[in-house]
Amino acid sequence: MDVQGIIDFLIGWMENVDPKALVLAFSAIGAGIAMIAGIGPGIGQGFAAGKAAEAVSKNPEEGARPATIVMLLGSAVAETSGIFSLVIAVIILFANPLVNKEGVGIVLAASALGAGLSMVAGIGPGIGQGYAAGKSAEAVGKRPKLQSMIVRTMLLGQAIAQTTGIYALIVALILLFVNVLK
Amino acid sequence: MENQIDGRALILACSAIGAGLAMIAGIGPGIGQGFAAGKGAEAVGRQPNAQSDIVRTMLLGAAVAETTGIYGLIVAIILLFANPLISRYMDLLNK
Amino acid sequence: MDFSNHVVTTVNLFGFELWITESMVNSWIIMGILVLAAVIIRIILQRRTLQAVPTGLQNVVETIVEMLDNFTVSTMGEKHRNFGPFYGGMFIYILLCNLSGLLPGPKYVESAGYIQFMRPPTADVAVTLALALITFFMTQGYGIKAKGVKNWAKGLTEPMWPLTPLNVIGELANPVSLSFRLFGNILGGTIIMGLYYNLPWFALVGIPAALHIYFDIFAGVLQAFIFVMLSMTFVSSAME
Repeated sequence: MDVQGIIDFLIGWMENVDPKALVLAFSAIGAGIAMIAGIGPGIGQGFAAGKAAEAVSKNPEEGARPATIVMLLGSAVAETSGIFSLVIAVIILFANPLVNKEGVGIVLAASALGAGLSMVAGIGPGIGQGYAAGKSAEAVGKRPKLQSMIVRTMLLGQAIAQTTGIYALIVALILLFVNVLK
Repeated sequence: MENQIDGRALILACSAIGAGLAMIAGIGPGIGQGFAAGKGAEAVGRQPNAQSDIVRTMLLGAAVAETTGIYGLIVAIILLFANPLISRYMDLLNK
Repeated sequence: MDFSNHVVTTVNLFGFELWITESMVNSWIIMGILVLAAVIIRIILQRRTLQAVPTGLQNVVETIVEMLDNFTVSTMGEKHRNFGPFYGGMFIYILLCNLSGLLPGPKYVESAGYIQFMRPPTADVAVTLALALITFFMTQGYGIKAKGVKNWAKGLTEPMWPLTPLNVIGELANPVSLSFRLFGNILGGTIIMGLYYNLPWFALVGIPAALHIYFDIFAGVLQAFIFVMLSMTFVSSAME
Protein backbone atom coordinates (compact mmCIF):
# COMPACT_ATOMS: atom_id res chain seq x y z
CA MET A 1 0.00 0.00 0.00
CA ASP A 2 2.26 2.85 -1.18
CA VAL A 3 1.46 6.48 -0.62
CA GLN A 4 -0.66 6.62 -3.77
CA GLY A 5 -2.72 3.71 -2.47
CA ILE A 6 -3.28 5.38 0.88
CA ILE A 7 -4.44 8.60 -0.74
CA ASP A 8 -6.81 6.67 -3.03
CA PHE A 9 -8.18 4.86 0.00
CA LEU A 10 -8.69 8.09 1.92
CA ILE A 11 -10.35 9.91 -0.95
CA GLY A 12 -12.23 6.73 -1.77
CA TRP A 13 -14.13 6.47 1.50
CA MET A 14 -14.78 10.19 1.50
CA GLU A 15 -16.74 9.76 -1.74
CA ASN A 16 -19.16 7.09 -0.60
CA VAL A 17 -20.10 8.91 2.57
CA ASP A 18 -23.12 11.16 2.76
CA PRO A 19 -21.58 14.66 2.18
CA LYS A 20 -23.70 16.19 4.95
CA ALA A 21 -22.24 13.68 7.43
CA LEU A 22 -18.73 14.44 6.18
CA VAL A 23 -19.23 18.18 6.73
CA LEU A 24 -20.60 17.63 10.24
CA ALA A 25 -17.83 15.21 11.10
CA PHE A 26 -15.08 17.61 10.06
CA SER A 27 -16.95 20.38 11.89
CA ALA A 28 -16.59 18.42 15.11
CA ILE A 29 -12.83 18.18 14.59
CA GLY A 30 -12.70 21.86 13.60
CA ALA A 31 -14.53 22.92 16.78
CA GLY A 32 -12.11 20.84 18.85
CA ILE A 33 -9.05 22.35 17.18
CA ALA A 34 -10.41 25.88 17.56
CA MET A 35 -10.28 25.49 21.34
CA ILE A 36 -6.52 24.89 21.26
CA ALA A 37 -6.20 28.68 21.21
CA GLY A 38 -6.93 28.45 24.96
CA ILE A 39 -3.22 27.86 25.47
CA GLY A 40 -2.46 31.53 24.81
CA PRO A 41 -4.65 33.26 27.38
CA GLY A 42 -3.81 30.49 29.88
CA ILE A 43 -0.11 31.27 29.75
CA GLY A 44 -0.59 35.02 29.43
CA GLN A 45 -3.01 35.43 32.31
CA GLY A 46 -0.89 33.14 34.46
CA PHE A 47 2.10 35.40 33.82
CA ALA A 48 -0.04 38.43 34.73
CA ALA A 49 -1.15 36.74 37.96
CA GLY A 50 2.46 35.97 38.90
CA LYS A 51 3.65 39.50 38.20
CA ALA A 52 0.72 40.97 40.13
CA ALA A 53 1.54 38.79 43.15
CA GLU A 54 5.14 39.98 42.91
CA ALA A 55 3.98 43.61 42.68
CA VAL A 56 1.88 43.14 45.81
CA SER A 57 4.90 41.82 47.67
CA LYS A 58 7.07 44.74 46.61
CA ASN A 59 4.61 47.43 47.64
CA PRO A 60 1.98 45.91 49.95
CA GLU A 61 0.50 49.07 51.47
CA GLU A 62 -0.80 51.12 48.56
CA GLY A 63 0.37 48.96 45.64
CA ALA A 64 -1.80 45.91 46.32
CA ARG A 65 -5.19 47.11 45.12
CA PRO A 66 -4.03 48.96 41.97
CA ALA A 67 -1.87 46.02 40.91
CA THR A 68 -4.79 43.62 41.31
CA ILE A 69 -7.16 45.88 39.39
CA VAL A 70 -4.68 46.41 36.53
CA MET A 71 -4.00 42.68 36.37
CA LEU A 72 -7.73 41.95 36.15
CA LEU A 73 -8.22 44.59 33.47
CA GLY A 74 -5.30 43.26 31.42
CA SER A 75 -6.41 39.65 31.86
CA ALA A 76 -9.94 40.54 30.80
CA VAL A 77 -8.54 41.96 27.55
CA ALA A 78 -6.25 38.96 27.14
CA GLU A 79 -9.39 36.83 27.39
CA THR A 80 -10.74 38.03 24.05
CA SER A 81 -8.79 35.61 21.87
CA GLY A 82 -10.10 32.75 24.02
CA ILE A 83 -13.62 34.12 23.60
CA PHE A 84 -13.14 34.42 19.81
CA SER A 85 -12.25 30.75 19.47
CA LEU A 86 -15.14 29.79 21.76
CA VAL A 87 -17.51 31.79 19.56
CA ILE A 88 -16.22 30.09 16.41
CA ALA A 89 -16.51 26.65 18.05
CA VAL A 90 -20.07 27.39 19.18
CA ILE A 91 -20.98 28.66 15.68
CA ILE A 92 -19.54 25.50 14.12
CA LEU A 93 -21.32 23.28 16.64
CA PHE A 94 -24.74 24.87 17.02
CA ALA A 95 -25.34 27.05 13.97
CA ASN A 96 -23.35 25.20 11.35
CA PRO A 97 -23.54 27.41 8.24
CA LEU A 98 -21.78 24.92 5.97
CA VAL A 99 -24.26 22.06 6.13
CA ASN A 100 -27.00 23.44 3.97
CA LYS A 101 -24.63 25.24 1.59
CA GLU A 102 -24.56 23.73 -1.87
CA GLY A 103 -21.08 22.68 -2.96
CA VAL A 104 -18.73 19.72 -3.04
CA GLY A 105 -18.88 17.80 0.26
CA ILE A 106 -15.13 17.53 0.70
CA VAL A 107 -14.62 21.27 0.11
CA LEU A 108 -17.21 22.24 2.72
CA ALA A 109 -15.81 19.75 5.20
CA ALA A 110 -12.31 21.10 4.62
CA SER A 111 -13.65 24.65 5.13
CA ALA A 112 -15.04 23.71 8.52
CA LEU A 113 -11.72 22.14 9.47
CA GLY A 114 -9.85 25.19 8.14
CA ALA A 115 -11.99 27.55 10.22
CA GLY A 116 -11.04 25.61 13.35
CA LEU A 117 -7.36 25.53 12.39
CA SER A 118 -7.20 29.26 11.73
CA MET A 119 -8.47 30.01 15.25
CA VAL A 120 -5.38 28.34 16.74
CA ALA A 121 -3.67 31.69 16.08
CA GLY A 122 -5.35 32.90 19.28
CA ILE A 123 -2.36 31.55 21.17
CA GLY A 124 -0.25 34.54 20.14
CA PRO A 125 -2.41 37.43 21.32
CA GLY A 126 -3.25 35.47 24.47
CA ILE A 127 0.38 35.22 25.52
CA GLY A 128 1.28 38.71 24.33
CA GLN A 129 -1.58 40.50 26.03
CA GLY A 130 -0.97 38.50 29.20
CA TYR A 131 2.66 39.63 29.16
CA ALA A 132 1.53 43.24 28.78
CA ALA A 133 -0.94 42.82 31.65
CA GLY A 134 1.77 41.33 33.87
CA LYS A 135 4.34 44.04 33.17
CA SER A 136 1.80 46.83 33.68
CA ALA A 137 0.65 45.28 36.97
CA GLU A 138 4.30 45.30 38.02
CA ALA A 139 4.68 48.93 36.91
CA VAL A 140 1.56 49.99 38.81
CA GLY A 141 2.91 48.20 41.84
CA LYS A 142 6.00 50.40 41.69
CA ARG A 143 4.22 53.68 40.87
CA PRO A 144 0.54 53.42 41.94
CA LYS A 145 -0.11 57.10 41.21
CA LEU A 146 0.58 56.60 37.48
CA GLN A 147 -2.18 53.99 37.22
CA SER A 148 -4.37 55.71 34.60
CA MET A 149 -1.42 56.41 32.28
CA ILE A 150 -0.09 52.86 32.64
CA VAL A 151 -3.54 51.38 31.99
CA ARG A 152 -4.01 53.52 28.88
CA THR A 153 -0.65 52.44 27.48
CA MET A 154 -1.41 48.81 28.29
CA LEU A 155 -4.79 48.90 26.55
CA LEU A 156 -3.25 50.52 23.47
CA GLY A 157 -0.50 47.90 23.27
CA GLN A 158 -2.94 45.06 23.84
CA ALA A 159 -5.24 46.33 21.11
CA ILE A 160 -2.35 46.26 18.64
CA ALA A 161 -1.38 42.78 19.83
CA GLN A 162 -4.95 41.69 19.14
CA THR A 163 -4.74 42.33 15.39
CA THR A 164 -3.40 38.90 14.40
CA GLY A 165 -6.17 37.30 16.43
CA ILE A 166 -8.68 39.39 14.51
CA TYR A 167 -7.09 38.35 11.19
CA ALA A 168 -7.56 34.71 12.19
CA LEU A 169 -11.17 35.43 13.14
CA ILE A 170 -11.83 37.11 9.79
CA VAL A 171 -10.37 34.17 7.85
CA ALA A 172 -12.43 31.72 9.90
CA LEU A 173 -15.63 33.70 9.34
CA ILE A 174 -14.93 33.92 5.60
CA LEU A 175 -14.39 30.17 5.45
CA LEU A 176 -17.63 29.55 7.31
CA PHE A 177 -20.02 32.06 5.77
CA VAL A 178 -18.68 33.21 2.40
CA ASN A 179 -18.36 30.14 0.19
CA VAL A 180 -15.28 31.38 -1.68
CA LEU A 181 -14.05 27.97 -2.76
CA LYS A 182 -16.83 27.31 -5.26
CA MET B 1 -22.31 0.12 -2.23
CA GLU B 2 -21.42 -2.40 0.47
CA ASN B 3 -18.87 -0.22 2.20
CA GLN B 4 -21.29 2.70 2.55
CA ILE B 5 -20.05 4.21 5.81
CA ASP B 6 -22.89 5.12 8.14
CA GLY B 7 -22.90 8.93 8.37
CA ARG B 8 -23.86 8.90 12.02
CA ALA B 9 -20.91 6.68 12.95
CA LEU B 10 -18.52 9.02 11.15
CA ILE B 11 -19.85 12.05 13.03
CA LEU B 12 -19.55 10.23 16.36
CA ALA B 13 -16.00 9.19 15.51
CA CYS B 14 -14.95 12.70 14.57
CA SER B 15 -16.70 14.16 17.62
CA ALA B 16 -14.49 12.00 19.79
CA ILE B 17 -11.41 13.31 17.98
CA GLY B 18 -12.71 16.88 18.30
CA ALA B 19 -13.33 16.50 22.05
CA GLY B 20 -9.81 15.18 22.52
CA LEU B 21 -8.26 18.03 20.54
CA ALA B 22 -10.28 20.59 22.47
CA MET B 23 -8.63 19.56 25.71
CA ILE B 24 -5.16 20.46 24.39
CA ALA B 25 -6.05 23.97 25.58
CA GLY B 26 -5.24 22.69 29.08
CA ILE B 27 -1.55 23.33 28.39
CA GLY B 28 -2.07 27.09 28.72
CA PRO B 29 -3.59 27.37 32.21
CA GLY B 30 -1.15 24.66 33.35
CA ILE B 31 1.90 26.70 32.45
CA GLY B 32 0.36 30.01 33.41
CA GLN B 33 -0.95 29.00 36.83
CA GLY B 34 2.33 27.29 37.57
CA PHE B 35 4.18 30.50 36.87
CA ALA B 36 1.69 32.41 39.04
CA ALA B 37 2.16 29.97 41.93
CA GLY B 38 5.93 30.24 41.63
CA LYS B 39 5.89 34.03 41.65
CA GLY B 40 3.37 33.94 44.49
CA ALA B 41 5.67 31.77 46.61
CA GLU B 42 8.60 34.04 45.82
CA ALA B 43 6.52 37.09 46.74
CA VAL B 44 5.45 35.59 50.08
CA GLY B 45 9.10 34.82 50.73
CA ARG B 46 10.03 38.44 50.17
CA GLN B 47 7.14 39.96 52.15
CA PRO B 48 5.70 37.43 54.65
CA ASN B 49 3.42 39.88 56.50
CA ALA B 50 1.53 40.73 53.26
CA GLN B 51 0.84 37.06 52.77
CA SER B 52 -2.95 37.27 52.70
CA ASP B 53 -2.95 39.98 50.01
CA ILE B 54 -0.41 38.11 47.93
CA VAL B 55 -2.30 34.82 48.12
CA ARG B 56 -5.56 36.60 47.29
CA THR B 57 -4.10 38.26 44.19
CA MET B 58 -2.40 35.05 43.09
CA LEU B 59 -5.56 32.95 43.48
CA LEU B 60 -7.62 35.57 41.68
CA GLY B 61 -5.19 35.72 38.76
CA ALA B 62 -4.91 31.94 38.62
CA ALA B 63 -8.70 31.56 38.53
CA VAL B 64 -8.89 34.10 35.71
CA ALA B 65 -6.24 32.12 33.83
CA GLU B 66 -8.43 29.03 34.31
CA THR B 67 -11.21 30.18 32.04
CA THR B 68 -9.81 29.18 28.65
CA GLY B 69 -9.14 25.70 29.98
CA ILE B 70 -12.79 25.65 31.06
CA TYR B 71 -13.85 26.70 27.55
CA GLY B 72 -12.02 23.69 26.13
CA LEU B 73 -13.68 21.50 28.76
CA ILE B 74 -17.13 22.82 27.90
CA VAL B 75 -16.68 22.28 24.16
CA ALA B 76 -15.42 18.75 24.85
CA ILE B 77 -18.40 18.02 27.14
CA ILE B 78 -20.81 19.41 24.53
CA LEU B 79 -19.24 17.16 21.89
CA LEU B 80 -19.39 14.12 24.15
CA PHE B 81 -22.69 14.42 25.97
CA ALA B 82 -24.98 16.78 24.08
CA ASN B 83 -23.79 16.41 20.48
CA PRO B 84 -25.61 19.07 18.42
CA LEU B 85 -24.08 17.77 15.17
CA ILE B 86 -25.81 14.40 15.49
CA SER B 87 -29.22 15.97 16.07
CA ARG B 88 -28.56 18.33 13.13
CA TYR B 89 -27.73 15.32 10.95
CA MET B 90 -30.87 13.49 12.10
CA ASP B 91 -32.99 16.52 11.18
CA LEU B 92 -31.38 16.62 7.74
CA LEU B 93 -31.98 12.90 7.25
CA ASN B 94 -35.66 12.81 7.97
CA LYS B 95 -36.32 16.12 6.29
CA MET C 1 -25.94 8.13 34.39
CA ASP C 2 -26.37 11.52 32.77
CA PHE C 3 -25.58 14.95 34.09
CA SER C 4 -28.17 16.99 32.25
CA ASN C 5 -30.72 19.11 34.00
CA HIS C 6 -33.81 16.90 34.25
CA VAL C 7 -37.18 18.54 33.86
CA VAL C 8 -39.11 17.94 37.06
CA THR C 9 -42.54 19.07 35.92
CA THR C 10 -43.97 21.30 33.23
CA VAL C 11 -46.38 24.08 34.09
CA ASN C 12 -48.39 25.85 31.39
CA LEU C 13 -48.75 29.52 32.15
CA PHE C 14 -51.48 31.06 30.01
CA GLY C 15 -50.62 28.94 27.02
CA PHE C 16 -46.86 29.01 27.44
CA GLU C 17 -45.31 25.78 28.69
CA LEU C 18 -42.80 26.45 31.47
CA TRP C 19 -40.28 23.68 32.27
CA ILE C 20 -39.49 23.50 35.98
CA THR C 21 -35.99 22.07 35.94
CA GLU C 22 -33.95 20.43 38.66
CA SER C 23 -31.67 23.41 39.17
CA MET C 24 -34.66 25.73 39.62
CA VAL C 25 -36.11 23.52 42.36
CA ASN C 26 -32.72 23.19 44.04
CA SER C 27 -32.16 26.94 44.01
CA TRP C 28 -35.64 27.42 45.52
CA ILE C 29 -34.66 24.98 48.27
CA ILE C 30 -31.48 26.95 48.93
CA MET C 31 -33.32 30.27 48.92
CA GLY C 32 -35.81 28.77 51.38
CA ILE C 33 -32.97 27.72 53.70
CA LEU C 34 -31.42 31.20 53.56
CA VAL C 35 -34.67 33.07 54.17
CA LEU C 36 -35.59 30.72 57.01
CA ALA C 37 -32.18 31.14 58.66
CA ALA C 38 -32.40 34.93 58.37
CA VAL C 39 -35.86 35.06 59.88
CA ILE C 40 -34.97 32.73 62.75
CA ILE C 41 -31.78 34.65 63.59
CA ARG C 42 -33.73 37.90 63.46
CA ILE C 43 -36.37 36.61 65.89
CA ILE C 44 -33.78 35.22 68.34
CA LEU C 45 -31.69 38.41 68.34
CA GLN C 46 -34.72 40.64 68.64
CA ARG C 47 -35.89 39.04 71.88
CA ARG C 48 -32.47 39.27 73.53
CA THR C 49 -30.96 42.68 74.36
CA LEU C 50 -27.83 43.19 72.26
CA GLN C 51 -24.77 43.41 74.52
CA ALA C 52 -21.75 45.53 73.67
CA VAL C 53 -19.52 42.47 74.06
CA PRO C 54 -21.34 39.98 71.81
CA THR C 55 -21.62 36.37 72.90
CA GLY C 56 -23.05 33.23 71.31
CA LEU C 57 -25.26 33.66 68.26
CA GLN C 58 -24.87 37.42 68.12
CA ASN C 59 -21.10 37.00 68.04
CA VAL C 60 -21.26 34.59 65.10
CA VAL C 61 -23.58 36.78 63.08
CA GLU C 62 -21.57 39.91 63.79
CA THR C 63 -18.30 38.31 62.68
CA ILE C 64 -19.91 37.13 59.42
CA VAL C 65 -21.34 40.56 58.64
CA GLU C 66 -18.05 42.26 59.56
CA MET C 67 -16.08 39.86 57.40
CA LEU C 68 -18.30 40.50 54.37
CA ASP C 69 -18.15 44.27 54.89
CA ASN C 70 -14.34 44.26 55.18
CA PHE C 71 -14.20 42.11 52.07
CA THR C 72 -16.27 44.68 50.18
CA VAL C 73 -14.33 47.67 51.51
CA SER C 74 -10.94 46.10 50.76
CA THR C 75 -12.01 45.42 47.16
CA MET C 76 -14.10 48.45 46.29
CA GLY C 77 -12.64 51.07 48.61
CA GLU C 78 -14.14 52.92 51.56
CA LYS C 79 -16.63 55.09 49.69
CA HIS C 80 -18.48 52.07 48.23
CA ARG C 81 -19.17 50.54 51.64
CA ASN C 82 -22.90 50.49 50.92
CA PHE C 83 -22.38 47.67 48.41
CA GLY C 84 -21.51 45.39 51.33
CA PRO C 85 -24.94 43.86 52.07
CA PHE C 86 -25.68 43.22 48.39
CA TYR C 87 -22.41 41.51 47.60
CA GLY C 88 -22.50 39.74 50.97
CA GLY C 89 -25.89 38.26 50.09
CA MET C 90 -24.71 37.29 46.60
CA PHE C 91 -21.60 35.66 48.05
CA ILE C 92 -23.59 33.60 50.56
CA TYR C 93 -26.10 32.52 47.90
CA ILE C 94 -23.42 31.43 45.41
CA LEU C 95 -21.43 29.75 48.20
CA LEU C 96 -24.43 27.74 49.34
CA CYS C 97 -25.27 26.86 45.70
CA ASN C 98 -21.74 25.57 45.14
CA LEU C 99 -21.71 23.63 48.42
CA SER C 100 -25.13 22.10 47.79
CA GLY C 101 -23.37 19.22 46.03
CA LEU C 102 -22.67 17.92 49.55
CA LEU C 103 -26.30 17.81 50.66
CA PRO C 104 -28.39 14.71 49.89
CA GLY C 105 -30.91 15.93 47.37
CA PRO C 106 -34.30 14.85 46.04
CA LYS C 107 -34.03 12.02 43.49
CA TYR C 108 -35.52 13.03 40.15
CA VAL C 109 -34.02 10.24 38.10
CA GLU C 110 -33.10 6.62 38.77
CA SER C 111 -29.36 7.17 38.57
CA ALA C 112 -27.15 4.21 39.24
CA GLY C 113 -25.24 5.92 42.03
CA TYR C 114 -25.82 4.78 45.63
CA ILE C 115 -26.34 8.22 47.07
CA GLN C 116 -28.23 10.91 45.21
CA PHE C 117 -26.62 14.26 45.92
CA MET C 118 -28.35 17.53 45.18
CA ARG C 119 -27.33 18.91 41.78
CA PRO C 120 -25.80 22.36 42.42
CA PRO C 121 -27.89 25.06 40.69
CA THR C 122 -24.67 26.76 39.57
CA ALA C 123 -23.94 23.68 37.43
CA ASP C 124 -26.43 25.16 34.98
CA VAL C 125 -25.39 27.94 32.60
CA ALA C 126 -28.78 29.67 32.95
CA VAL C 127 -28.18 30.37 36.66
CA THR C 128 -24.60 31.57 36.25
CA LEU C 129 -25.41 33.67 33.17
CA ALA C 130 -28.24 35.33 35.12
CA LEU C 131 -25.80 36.21 37.92
CA ALA C 132 -23.22 37.42 35.39
CA LEU C 133 -25.80 39.61 33.64
CA ILE C 134 -26.69 41.21 36.99
CA THR C 135 -23.04 42.21 37.26
CA PHE C 136 -22.92 43.35 33.61
CA PHE C 137 -25.92 45.66 33.92
CA MET C 138 -24.70 46.94 37.29
CA THR C 139 -21.31 47.74 35.74
CA GLN C 140 -22.84 49.67 32.84
CA GLY C 141 -25.54 51.29 35.01
CA TYR C 142 -23.19 52.54 37.70
CA GLY C 143 -20.67 53.58 35.06
CA ILE C 144 -23.29 55.74 33.36
CA LYS C 145 -24.55 57.04 36.72
CA ALA C 146 -21.03 57.98 37.84
CA LYS C 147 -19.62 59.37 34.60
CA GLY C 148 -22.68 60.41 32.61
CA VAL C 149 -23.64 58.88 29.27
CA LYS C 150 -21.25 61.04 27.21
CA ASN C 151 -18.14 60.17 29.25
CA TRP C 152 -19.25 56.57 29.46
CA ALA C 153 -19.50 56.37 25.66
CA LYS C 154 -16.18 58.22 25.33
CA GLY C 155 -14.71 55.66 27.74
CA LEU C 156 -15.55 52.94 25.23
CA THR C 157 -13.24 54.55 22.63
CA GLU C 158 -10.46 54.42 25.23
CA PRO C 159 -7.03 55.19 23.74
CA MET C 160 -8.07 55.85 20.10
CA TRP C 161 -11.38 55.73 18.24
CA PRO C 162 -10.48 52.70 15.97
CA LEU C 163 -10.36 50.53 19.11
CA THR C 164 -14.07 50.93 19.83
CA PRO C 165 -15.11 47.46 18.51
CA LEU C 166 -12.39 45.82 20.57
CA ASN C 167 -13.53 47.66 23.73
CA VAL C 168 -17.15 46.66 23.07
CA ILE C 169 -16.10 43.02 22.63
CA GLY C 170 -14.05 43.30 25.83
CA GLU C 171 -17.13 44.59 27.69
CA LEU C 172 -19.35 41.83 26.29
CA ALA C 173 -16.71 39.18 27.05
CA ASN C 174 -16.90 39.93 30.79
CA PRO C 175 -20.27 38.30 31.52
CA VAL C 176 -19.40 35.37 29.23
CA SER C 177 -16.11 34.66 31.02
CA LEU C 178 -17.67 35.26 34.47
CA SER C 179 -20.55 32.85 33.88
CA PHE C 180 -18.53 30.15 32.09
CA ARG C 181 -15.82 30.19 34.79
CA LEU C 182 -18.32 29.45 37.60
CA PHE C 183 -20.42 27.09 35.45
CA GLY C 184 -17.45 25.13 34.07
CA ASN C 185 -15.80 24.55 37.42
CA ILE C 186 -18.97 23.42 39.21
CA LEU C 187 -20.21 21.27 36.30
CA GLY C 188 -16.76 19.67 36.01
CA GLY C 189 -16.86 18.85 39.71
CA THR C 190 -20.38 17.43 39.46
CA ILE C 191 -19.49 15.20 36.51
CA ILE C 192 -16.34 13.86 38.17
CA MET C 193 -18.22 13.12 41.42
CA GLY C 194 -21.04 11.46 39.46
CA LEU C 195 -18.63 9.30 37.48
CA TYR C 196 -16.74 8.37 40.62
CA TYR C 197 -19.81 7.25 42.51
CA ASN C 198 -20.56 4.65 39.86
CA LEU C 199 -17.48 2.66 40.76
CA PRO C 200 -18.02 -0.58 42.74
CA TRP C 201 -18.38 -0.25 46.51
CA PHE C 202 -14.73 -0.89 47.53
CA ALA C 203 -13.66 2.28 45.70
CA LEU C 204 -16.13 4.34 47.70
CA VAL C 205 -14.43 3.87 51.08
CA GLY C 206 -12.21 6.89 51.69
CA ILE C 207 -11.53 8.58 48.40
CA PRO C 208 -14.87 10.33 47.71
CA ALA C 209 -14.38 12.40 50.88
CA ALA C 210 -11.11 13.76 49.48
CA LEU C 211 -12.73 14.43 46.08
CA HIS C 212 -15.63 16.20 47.80
CA ILE C 213 -13.23 18.35 49.79
CA TYR C 214 -11.42 19.45 46.65
CA PHE C 215 -14.32 19.83 44.24
CA ASP C 216 -17.21 20.87 46.40
CA ILE C 217 -15.54 22.75 49.22
CA PHE C 218 -12.28 24.21 47.85
CA ALA C 219 -13.43 24.87 44.29
CA GLY C 220 -16.90 25.94 45.48
CA VAL C 221 -15.60 28.50 47.99
CA LEU C 222 -12.88 29.73 45.60
CA GLN C 223 -15.26 30.19 42.64
CA ALA C 224 -17.84 32.00 44.79
CA PHE C 225 -15.06 34.28 46.11
CA ILE C 226 -13.67 34.87 42.60
CA PHE C 227 -17.09 35.58 41.09
CA VAL C 228 -18.03 38.17 43.73
CA MET C 229 -14.57 39.76 43.80
CA LEU C 230 -14.49 40.13 39.99
CA SER C 231 -18.02 41.58 40.01
CA MET C 232 -17.01 44.11 42.67
CA THR C 233 -13.84 45.01 40.79
CA PHE C 234 -15.71 45.51 37.50
CA VAL C 235 -18.36 47.73 39.15
CA SER C 236 -15.87 49.79 41.15
CA SER C 237 -13.50 50.31 38.19
CA ALA C 238 -16.48 51.32 36.05
CA MET C 239 -17.33 54.00 38.59
CA GLU C 240 -13.80 55.41 38.81
